[in-house]
Amino acid sequence: MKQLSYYISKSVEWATVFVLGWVGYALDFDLERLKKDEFLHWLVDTTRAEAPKIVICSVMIIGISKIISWALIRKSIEQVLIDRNISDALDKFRDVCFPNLEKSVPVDHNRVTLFKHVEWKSWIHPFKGIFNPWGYWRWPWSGWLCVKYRSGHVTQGGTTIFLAPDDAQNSEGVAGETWRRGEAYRVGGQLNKLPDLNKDSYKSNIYVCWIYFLKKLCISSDKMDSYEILRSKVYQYAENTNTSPKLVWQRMKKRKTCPTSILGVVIENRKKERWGVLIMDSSNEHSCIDTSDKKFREGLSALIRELRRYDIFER
Amino acid sequence: MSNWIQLDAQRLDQTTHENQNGVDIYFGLSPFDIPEAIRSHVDKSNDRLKIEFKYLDDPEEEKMEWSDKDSSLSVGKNSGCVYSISVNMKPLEEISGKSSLLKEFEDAVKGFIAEKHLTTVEESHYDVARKALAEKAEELLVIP
Repeated sequence: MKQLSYYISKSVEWATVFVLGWVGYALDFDLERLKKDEFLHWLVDTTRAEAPKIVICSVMIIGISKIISWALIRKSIEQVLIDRNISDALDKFRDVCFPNLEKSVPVDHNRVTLFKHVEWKSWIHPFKGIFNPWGYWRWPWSGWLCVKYRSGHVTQGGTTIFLAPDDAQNSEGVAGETWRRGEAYRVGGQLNKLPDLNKDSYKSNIYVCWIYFLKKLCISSDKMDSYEILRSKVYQYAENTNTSPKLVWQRMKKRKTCPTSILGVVIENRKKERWGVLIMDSSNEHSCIDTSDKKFREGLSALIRELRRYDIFER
Repeated sequence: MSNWIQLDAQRLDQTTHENQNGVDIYFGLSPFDIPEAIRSHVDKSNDRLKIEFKYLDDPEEEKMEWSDKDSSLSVGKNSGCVYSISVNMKPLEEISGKSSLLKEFEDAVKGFIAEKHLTTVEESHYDVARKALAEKAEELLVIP
């Protein structure tokens, strides 16, 4: 109901913006050209006559809609408390998953993230393509895995989103692959982890063009060799994590951490219908403990009980 | 009714390991699909030994049932997890208990697959249930 009210409020706001645009257009219109079309003539004429009232009302409607939208998306005190409790539960589970972490390890290096599967996602960022933000032949209704809750107090505002469509072979990321398989899926074990890109820096397009220009001229340099090594690491990382090299470059550009070990477990509701995915990622030498480990199972069971207390799987 | 017998998830887990471009990849059953405990009791109404499996999150999913004259099987509709198996007491008494119990389970699974026409059955669920049965058969056959 709250969401429906929000969408209605937003629709009214956009409709009013359209009305304002029409007023601006009508004021500049030559009425002489509309003599043949009586309805359009009447519409433009009336708009002109009532323009001041329409503009004032429109501005008021936009203002009220904005306030309503803000009130609707603003978290209630109950919601804030629920979020805090869930965050605590995820923090406890993080301690179970990564038992040997020293206190000095930054919290964003070992995270537990709960992704929810949604059928519709109207806005994604960054865009996957120039002409279609959702990617080639993908739409808001393609099926997506969005971050719902994350452990720690940082990296909470992330816009990470993975494609998890009905044509599951096109799913993205370890989260998408876990969703597709419906089981536990780990990339990067204790010994052979994903390539560590956290100490490497992003190479701009100009830099890459310069490297290829040097290559064309058959000039060898250390920079060229190091770029080739980095490029192969990025491609290897992308292939193993089921993402595109472009996405990995984007992460590096934004100086986001690139986990070296990722474990995904599919999450189901009480009726065993798939709801989302729980991801445990690590950017250091500590990988998440095994899913069959008794401590992991007990911790997961406690986390799921806590999430159910707040009806997370019913929303 | 007997008490739940705890199972060792690490022994039941059938994780597959691959090495892709020098990176370790593991995939296996979800922790929610590996049984936590197992128990048996005699259903006096039809003189059958009923073996039940308990899972991590105590789900409430709809179940599919299959039965014939000697056995019956209850499997989760969405997950494919085996929830219970009932076997006739007579074959268990006539033949050696453990092997007979496993044979009854295999037959029940085959019958279930044939009846439901499941072509893409998640065999790993049956494997893990069979493994649990094999491991705890002797304890399960000690009927209280």
